[in-house]
Amino acid sequence: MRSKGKKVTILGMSTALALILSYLESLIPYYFGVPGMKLGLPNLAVVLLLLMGDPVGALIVNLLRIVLSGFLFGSLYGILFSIAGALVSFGMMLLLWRSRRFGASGISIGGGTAHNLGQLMIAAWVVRTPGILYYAPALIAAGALTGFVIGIAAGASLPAIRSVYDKEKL
Amino acid sequence: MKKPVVIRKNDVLLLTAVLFICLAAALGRLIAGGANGNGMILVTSDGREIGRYPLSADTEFVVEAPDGGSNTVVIRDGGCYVREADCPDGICMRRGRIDKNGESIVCLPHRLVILVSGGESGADTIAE
Repeated sequence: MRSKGKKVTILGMSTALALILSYLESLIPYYFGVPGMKLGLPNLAVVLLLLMGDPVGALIVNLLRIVLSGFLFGSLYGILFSIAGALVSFGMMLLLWRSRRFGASGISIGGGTAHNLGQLMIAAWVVRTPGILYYAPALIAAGALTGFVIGIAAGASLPAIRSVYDKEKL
Repeated sequence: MKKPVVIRKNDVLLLTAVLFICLAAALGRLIAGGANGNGMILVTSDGREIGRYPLSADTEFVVEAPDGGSNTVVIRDGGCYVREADCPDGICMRRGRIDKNGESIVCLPHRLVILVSGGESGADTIAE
């Protein structure tokens, strides 16, 4: 991130992208009936920012889109859960990204699984019933698969975004 | 400009490992505990058990949540579902029917859990 103008622009556009994807996702009903199961489409924007080497920006966009989409399409209760899941997910992605051993899809797989498992554990803690961890295998597998696909999408679109980004002088 | 790597060998390894572990856990549980049982419905609110109902007897009851909300639970034809709830998201209603050991309906806003538990030994090893 060389100039402030560029940074503000890219973060604004990423937040917009994440918000649109949040909206798309809110149109899809829950299949597992357990809070925590999501496609994780908005994570595309977060993975993109990580790949561009801006972890701070990725975290900011992540939190902003949760608060904004929560007020627009969800509830306050949903916001708290989403933030918890997003922080667990972000921590995992940051670790995988820092390790430099994983590509875009691997980073995103980590995010997807950590998100679903994190939310399920928080849900189990809130209702004080560890029995709902019954769904952990299904949720982790689903998170890995959706994360894999989203990681491929992020990695594939990165060169195009970068070429425009590097050309523009702000 | 360095070309970003989308799929590396480690990524595929990670995906395979995660899927394999999940599959093994699911299969192991299927073998260990019978999928269908002469189950009991265990209802807990805010972590406290408030009732046990056999899946074999049709019934209907209302669970009051600590925050004043309520969920209407129905047991019919060996399955259990939430018919009505005044929670903001309604995920408990969308969950549909449960009838297999270990399955549960969760209403987070009301801190309500409805769990299918097989006989006296409890739902599964994770639950203990």
